[in-house]
Formats: sequence, structure tokens, C-alpha cells
Amino acid sequence: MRRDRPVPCPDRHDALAELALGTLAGQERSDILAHVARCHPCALELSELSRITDDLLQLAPAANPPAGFELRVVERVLAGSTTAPTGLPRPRERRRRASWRLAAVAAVLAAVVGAGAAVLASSTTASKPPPGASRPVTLSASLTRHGRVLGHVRVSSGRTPWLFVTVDDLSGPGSRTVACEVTLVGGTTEKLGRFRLSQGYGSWGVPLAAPVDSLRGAILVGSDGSVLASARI
Amino acid sequence: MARPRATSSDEAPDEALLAGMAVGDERAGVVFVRRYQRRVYGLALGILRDPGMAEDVAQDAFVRAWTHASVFDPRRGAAATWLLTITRNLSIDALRVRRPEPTDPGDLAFAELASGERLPEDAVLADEMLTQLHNALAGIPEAQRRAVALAAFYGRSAQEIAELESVPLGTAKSRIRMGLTKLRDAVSVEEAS
Ligand SMILES: [Zn+2]
Repeated sequence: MRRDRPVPCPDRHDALAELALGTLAGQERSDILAHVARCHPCALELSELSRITDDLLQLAPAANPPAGFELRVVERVLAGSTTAPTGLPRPRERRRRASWRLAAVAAVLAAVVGAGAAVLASSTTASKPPPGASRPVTLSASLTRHGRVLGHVRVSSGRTPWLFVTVDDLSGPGSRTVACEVTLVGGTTEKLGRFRLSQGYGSWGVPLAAPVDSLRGAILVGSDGSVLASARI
Repeated sequence: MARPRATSSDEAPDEALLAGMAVGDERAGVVFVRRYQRRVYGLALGILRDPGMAEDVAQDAFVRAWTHASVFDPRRGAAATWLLTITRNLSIDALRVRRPEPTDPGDLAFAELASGERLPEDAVLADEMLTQLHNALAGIPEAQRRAVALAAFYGRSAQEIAELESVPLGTAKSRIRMGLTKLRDAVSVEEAS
């Protein structure tokens, strides 16, 4: 026990702990709140106990979310921003701006998550989207091996076509580097780049030089050249 | 070799990322999501024990944090705390709506927090004060640890804990209070020494 801490009121101590944990309701809650407002030792105790309950949440074991998690968050934020009651652009304008924003975010995602984008991006340096440009179409395909789903590949059309791959279960300890390749309509293969997996988990994105409708599939290749997983787009 | 690049925003403090998100900087948002997705999803999964529900809740938590980034006030606490509190509250709401039967105390994901079987994120264990708290959890009596976990992670009131554990209300209340104050004492003694 620390010597210099003022002692909270003994008959309020239970309620202080429950208030800090956020599990107090109704009259009990308003009573203790009113007390804390005029009792310094209890206010001090409440702030210390609240800090412990906050820190307890940080001790929760971490876990890898399913493949594509971060992309879905971005998509939802953008979808929400087009319907937000504030801002008030007309529907048409709003839709166009949304498609521009989605493409911009895809490019941002690609830039954040992976290098190797620069070469492929050179042909996509942007002109402004034409008025009424259609909303990008996003396609998703499972990355599988022997019928087991190991992750997902998403591709999106639009001003800056992009591909985003998430792997959430490509077993193997430690970290390893895999290459991502796409197969095109004519049967040719194009190398997109490499990215790292850590404990079987990783994600990576890249702007595409080729139009999305020319893609037939994507594969992940290990450092020994073996195909680790594939997706049909 | 194409490793993910360490960009300036990758290392930006949480508060700077939230400030960026508040003014529509998607890049900041992506970095923020990547930084916390394992912890947010892990917390939701631990409370809900259902991967589908946990993903929904974790997504909701990030969308809420992102769209409310402008009201985040760094003077009132750390961004991680804010985000995890949002996650906890949404998880408890989902638990109450979709799984109304009481939590089986024998099936508590967080009761074994102290066992060392499932560890927090490395970044958390790098924080000395959080490691002390983790160790302190192992040092308090099991009944108190369970009472604190039921309240802190599952939002259970003293009355509900009394029913779950088949003890009088007064016993549940003192277990909660004694458990929590012992954790605080353990951490502040270490700080003072
Ligand atoms: Zn008092």
C-alpha cells in the first residue's frame, strides 16, 4: 500500500469498483457519481481503478482476423461516407465522388501494404474520371489449395484497377516470402510482385496495369517455384 | 525484395493517425486498422467466441472509431484504450442481443488470462506496466480474478456474478472490489519502487 494515498470512503468502495468497470446502472450509479463529484479521495480512487479496467482490455490475447478484414473496413467507411447526412452533394455527384474515392483508397492501400507497385503503376497515372464514370466493380475470389480456402483475392475495376490479396492460413512457421502472379485471358502469366507472410498470415495490394476483365486467375508461388495457392477470378 | 515499406505514417503515433482520419486521410486509417486489427479482433473473439460475430463487431468498432475520430480526445486517454473500450462495449451488446443465456463460468475465455496459455500481443508485453498487470492477475485468488473478468470483459453486474457463481450479492461485490484494488496495488507498488 502506498502511504500518501487518501483513503476512499469504506462504504463507497464497492460501488467505486463497479463504476470503474462500467457495470453499475440506475440509482446506484447516480448515487456514486454524485458522491464522487464532491469527495476527492473517492474521485482519485475511481480514476486509478478506471485505469486498471482500461488496461485489462489490452491484455486480451490477440488473434488474426479473417482474410480481407482491413479492406472490408475501408469499404464500409467509404460506403458510409457516401450516405452521410452531412455534406449534401447531389446523388449523382456523390456517386461519382465515391467511385473516385474508392479508387484512391485502393491505390493508398496498395502503396501502404506493398512495394513493387511503382513499375506496374506507371501506366495508370491518372486522368480525371470522366463525368458519370461507372462505379468500380470489385470481385472477390477464394485462394485455395486442394479445396481448402487459404485466403482471398480481390480485384477492382475503375480508374486505377487494383488487386489485393490476403492470406490467413498458409501454414509454415516464421516468415516467408511469396510471389503473386496473375494469368491473363490469352494464357500468359504476369508477375506482380512479392510480399511477406508472417506465421502464415499477410496481405498485399498492387495497382494493376492490365484491365480487370483480362484477368483469369491469380496464384501464389513459393521461393522454390511451387504453386502454394490459386484463385479463379 | 518487396517488403512492405516502412513509410512515415507506419510509424506515426496513434493520435496523429486519428487526427488524419478525422480529416479524411484514408492512408492514416489503413495504417491504424493494420496496427490494431489483431488486438481488436482478438478481444471481440475472446468475448464472443464466435469468429463470424467477432469479425462483425471488430469491423463495427473500426468503422465507429474512424467515423468518430474527430471526437477522440487524447487528453482523456490513449487511443488504444478508446478503441478497445468501443470493441468491448459492442461485443457485450452483441452478446446480450444474440446470446441471451448467461455466460457459463466454466467457459470463460478470459478466466485463464493469467495462465499464460494465450498471450497478449507482443507490443503489449513490451509495456512494463501491462506486463506487471498481467503478472498481478496470476497472483490474486481465482474467485476474485473471475469476478473481475466477468465484469471487465463480459459487462456482468455484481448481481449477475452472484447468480452465476451462486454466492450472495455482498460476496460478489467484495470479490470485484478486492480483485480490482489488488491489481491496482500491485501495479502502483511496482511503480513506486
Ligand atoms: Zn468518498
